[in-house]
Amino acid sequence: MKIVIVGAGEVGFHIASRLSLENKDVMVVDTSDEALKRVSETLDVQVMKGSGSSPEVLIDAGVKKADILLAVTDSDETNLVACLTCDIISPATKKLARIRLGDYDAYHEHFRANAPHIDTIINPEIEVVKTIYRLMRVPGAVDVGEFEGGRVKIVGMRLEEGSPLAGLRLSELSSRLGGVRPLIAAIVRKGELIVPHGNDTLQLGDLVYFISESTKLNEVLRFFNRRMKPVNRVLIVGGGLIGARLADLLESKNIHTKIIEKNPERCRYLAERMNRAVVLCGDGSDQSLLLEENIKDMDFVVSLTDDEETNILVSLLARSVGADNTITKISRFSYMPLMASIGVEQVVSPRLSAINSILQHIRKGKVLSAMSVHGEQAEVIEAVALQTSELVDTPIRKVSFPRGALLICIIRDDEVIIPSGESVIKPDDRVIIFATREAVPRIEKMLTVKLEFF
Amino acid sequence: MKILDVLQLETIIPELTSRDKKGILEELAAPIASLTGLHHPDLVRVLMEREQLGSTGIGDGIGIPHGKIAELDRMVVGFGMSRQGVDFDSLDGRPAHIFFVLVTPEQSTGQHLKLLARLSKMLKNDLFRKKLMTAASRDEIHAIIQSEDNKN
Repeated sequence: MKIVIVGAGEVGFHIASRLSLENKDVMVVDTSDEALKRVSETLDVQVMKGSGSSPEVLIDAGVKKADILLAVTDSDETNLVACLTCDIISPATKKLARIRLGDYDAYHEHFRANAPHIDTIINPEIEVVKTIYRLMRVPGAVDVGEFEGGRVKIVGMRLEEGSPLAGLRLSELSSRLGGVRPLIAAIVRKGELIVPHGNDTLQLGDLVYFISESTKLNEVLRFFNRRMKPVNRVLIVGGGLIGARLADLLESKNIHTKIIEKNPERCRYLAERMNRAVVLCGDGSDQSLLLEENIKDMDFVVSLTDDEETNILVSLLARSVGADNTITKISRFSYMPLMASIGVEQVVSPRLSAINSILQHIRKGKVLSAMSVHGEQAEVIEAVALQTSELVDTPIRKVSFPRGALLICIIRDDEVIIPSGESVIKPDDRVIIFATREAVPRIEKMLTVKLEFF
Repeated sequence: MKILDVLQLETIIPELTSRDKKGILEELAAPIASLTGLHHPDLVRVLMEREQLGSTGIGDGIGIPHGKIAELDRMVVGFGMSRQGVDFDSLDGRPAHIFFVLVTPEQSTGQHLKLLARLSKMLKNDLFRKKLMTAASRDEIHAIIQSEDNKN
């Protein structure tokens, strides 16, 4: 598979890095020597200097041979023109573009149905706001993913003191806990991801990834000493694109929202735009301001400034004065593994969100969605089990799943089925599979069809 | 059903020039698009999307890309030959040379599967494949397929 990536920024770089590990044929185009140097020195991909919106450059980059064009520069205009140019010189190439400006929101469908025929518009800000809202609705969750339009959730949560799960072997869960229990997909212990077996024991401090139907989540949360509670008050630090979008969403849910923003001009804009949200002009890392605003009474403190260090600092401050829940925006991937050790675990990343929305297009088989877990160590894949694929019409125990992969659930029409060895997947069932990065290629193979599939 | 019932002379391409999968699909789709009036990029997309679900490169140098198209009223088959061979993500990892492309209406009931089975059976014959590989012209290819087609 050949993929041309226009834009060697954080998103382009990380997608290229991910794809190069999977033996995809990747070409990265950018105008900046510096950005390209970083790519060519660290990754095994090709690079080309030039503007991704130029037909000449795109042709030289091999767009005519490319299965996918990924336009992810920082400029919406460049991305749009790159797609438009590609639509003319190589119309069958799939086009994915990052479009950030909210003014385009109402035109996404138009861009799909008409020229430039963009197959998928990626808006990292919208994705991050969705992620933040998902995190807010599952108290204590470090990571929340949704499948089947939200009917099934995967949740990553720390096993804390007092949880009845601590010390239990997985094989004991059903006899000790009865019917409703977390279906455990993976454990992250001391930074290492484990796909557990029946004999593995859950330990305090483990980050446990489990699956639950959304309607049963509250019962499952009991085992983590948590329960669903309504979110009433939220403080947002940083009123940029994401902050404003989040405030819009929270307003629409009747959640009392305050925004702290440093830039007076931006404050005026926000104050005009918001109906009920309170806009405060000030520095979010100023402890006295946070205390004045009763930070400890907030259900969530969300730090979304453009400065990573400020975001981390705000979350640490908020925690130290008693705020229960903080969500921190981090863009630099290298920070992520460190966050757990300083207790700032509810982290969102626009770049990671963008990568997730791109993954499903790159996977073989009919993949509906894919989500990176714990950085990029593993993936949860939601796919259609197609007729003639290895998965269907045989009992699960006869299907040879690779090490590090787990079939989490089968969805047939409206039914969510927790599989046993005797379960049989039928054609057109949806399946949710957890797989470590090493197991992904084999899973892709299992999802592919034979010649006679039309 | 015989291959020649649905394979027209004008959809035979004796010499494909592309060196990559997408290019091959574009070349194969071109005569079918002009014969049927289908939008060429749409046809290529259907074929590419099918390849994404699993490669139709079945090994032994053979590729049988195919797909269903709603606007089509009958089954259409095309043929193409790449002498230098092309990476088609084949099962055996080897380059593909001989291509049959098969497009069928959305509502097709089993006929396309019979034709696909017939094609794959015919292509198991080494001699048939060798003859195709050495054919120089459209008419020659047509005649070779015809003689194999009439055998059973």
